[in-house]
Amino acid sequence: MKQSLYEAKPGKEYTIVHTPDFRLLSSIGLFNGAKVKMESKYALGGPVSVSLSTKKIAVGKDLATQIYVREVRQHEPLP
Amino acid sequence: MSRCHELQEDREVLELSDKILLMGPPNVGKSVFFSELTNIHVVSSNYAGTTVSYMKGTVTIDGRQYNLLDVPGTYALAATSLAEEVALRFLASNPRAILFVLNAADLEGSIKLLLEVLEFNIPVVGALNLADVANRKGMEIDVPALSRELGIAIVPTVAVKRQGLAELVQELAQVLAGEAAASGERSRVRGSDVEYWQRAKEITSKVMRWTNGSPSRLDRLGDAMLKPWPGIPLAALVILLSIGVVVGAGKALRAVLLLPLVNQGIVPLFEALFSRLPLPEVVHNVLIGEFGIFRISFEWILALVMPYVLLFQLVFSFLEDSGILPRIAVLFDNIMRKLGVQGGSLINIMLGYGCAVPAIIGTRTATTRKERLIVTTIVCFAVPCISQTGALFSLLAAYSYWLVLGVLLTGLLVFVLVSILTSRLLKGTVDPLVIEIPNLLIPERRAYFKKFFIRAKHFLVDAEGPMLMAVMIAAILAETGLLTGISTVLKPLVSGWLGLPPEASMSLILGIIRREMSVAPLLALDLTSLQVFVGAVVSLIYLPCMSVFAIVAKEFGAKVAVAITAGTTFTALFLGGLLNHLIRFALSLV
Repeated sequence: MKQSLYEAKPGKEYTIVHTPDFRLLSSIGLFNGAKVKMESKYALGGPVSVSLSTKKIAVGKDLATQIYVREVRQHEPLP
Repeated sequence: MSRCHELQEDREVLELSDKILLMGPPNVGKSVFFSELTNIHVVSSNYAGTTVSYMKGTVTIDGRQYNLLDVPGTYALAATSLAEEVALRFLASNPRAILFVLNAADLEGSIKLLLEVLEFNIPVVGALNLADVANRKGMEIDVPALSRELGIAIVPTVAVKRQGLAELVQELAQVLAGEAAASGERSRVRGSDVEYWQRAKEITSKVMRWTNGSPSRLDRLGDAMLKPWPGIPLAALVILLSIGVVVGAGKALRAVLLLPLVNQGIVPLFEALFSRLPLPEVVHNVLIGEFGIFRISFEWILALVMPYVLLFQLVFSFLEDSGILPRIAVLFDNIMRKLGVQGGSLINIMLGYGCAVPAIIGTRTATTRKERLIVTTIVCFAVPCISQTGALFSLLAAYSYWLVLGVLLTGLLVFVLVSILTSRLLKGTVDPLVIEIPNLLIPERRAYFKKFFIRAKHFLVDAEGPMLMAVMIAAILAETGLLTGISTVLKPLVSGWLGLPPEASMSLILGIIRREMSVAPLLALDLTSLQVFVGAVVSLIYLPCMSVFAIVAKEFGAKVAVAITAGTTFTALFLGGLLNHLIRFALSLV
């Protein structure tokens, strides 16, 4: 099921399936096919934070709503 | 016009011979390498070029001097941000070698950037830094394998403890001795980010394996600080504690050590000295009168400005090195977003509470010009630098802590208004937050104090000239009677509108030079609480100092600098007078 990163559930792992045209995302490691773990979502229009294999990144709401992800079903470890 | 200037300054650096570039992703401790490797800590006046400040120093390898350039950290080399453009220009400037710093705790991200750098055919030596953090997190890296995969020498380092630096210099010497071709041009068209990432993942999976890491208390605290609960209270605590240390210890230092030293030690010494010299009265007064140079330079600079500036540097360097600032940026992104900017801007704004100049230079990391302009305007209007904060605090706290709170709230109100207004009025967009959250670290003592001393030294070098100039102007104006003339002219404004004594016109004059100098003269006047409040508000918003004017003109052009200066001056005087009359009116009703 495709959903926006902003609606992703903390603690679950996702594969990114669509990113908006925003260069910094791919250079920092958020590109189609990248696996992320949702960490937390901040209230009142705040960002979401996700972890990649070895780092944590926070993404503002306006971008997070444009990034689409699919939940990783089996509990496979992050690459 | 300003553009040519920038290019010229840039060219000077680019044209240096025997350059070694210090590169790596952001936040990997490059500046620690820089200050450990270069003997002279010249933070070359910082503001050249079109991007985040870079530093230049010299390093001796094999008896020969090389220029080490600290290139701004980037995630890619695609010329899509100012920082990346500068990195590319440096790569094309014929460097002899590159010292590339890899983050062992984020190997994949480091390799991704390194793969791009390697395409430029410049000899590279790798430093695998932060190995201690990687171990703690359960990552084990096969260094010889990594070196083979990348085809370059890799030296494991813990730069803050100087571990591995000697080997690193040896490897550099070897690379420099070889006559490798340094073309500085890409060997092929730049690939896509995804391509580099995939290759980086492949290499990482070959050379790194996960063991059972034991997340330290620090890692857990770092994670906790990221969660809204307890992150927000923790961040508030950190901020309050920082303010408490700076203001409290500053006040104590001033009362216990500096004021007695100045008033009972230094000044009487000069008084005795000058009274023995056969000087004309005016000269004597300019030197040691009530506003004499040898009195107020110590009273203002040594006893008023120095303690707060030094304590701020001490505290802020800690916040910077520990990784707390990005966490604050994340936690407050929601508020900043509603104000029309984004959480990342907060880091520059907080820097502005130290000094506006690095804050404005720091905005070069912002992705849009609009964001740069908003942050710069906020810093010029509503963010007092630490010298001014110290002076304001000394002025206000002598009356009442309620006044301190009042001025603080007025400052925050102006902050919010300026942010909302500029984000509505300026054309363009502000990009949403994208920020990497670094591991929480306890700054290593040696590196931390080194950084502190470099900064303190720079403050002394940069600020002393303007401060002494302000002091001399103050002495001449006050002691020759010129001030009386100026005060008569400005009386309708200063007394009629702002309700201050005519001599307070000195504040408006000195404030042009440096911000705290608009506060200092008020300390000597016998003011009412209302007058102190109005004076503090005017001084808070009043024009940015000369250095700030210069940096705004350089970064954004003279028009913007003049607009900000006119805007702050008008707002300060208007709001000050308005508050004066409103409060008087309210008091008359009681």
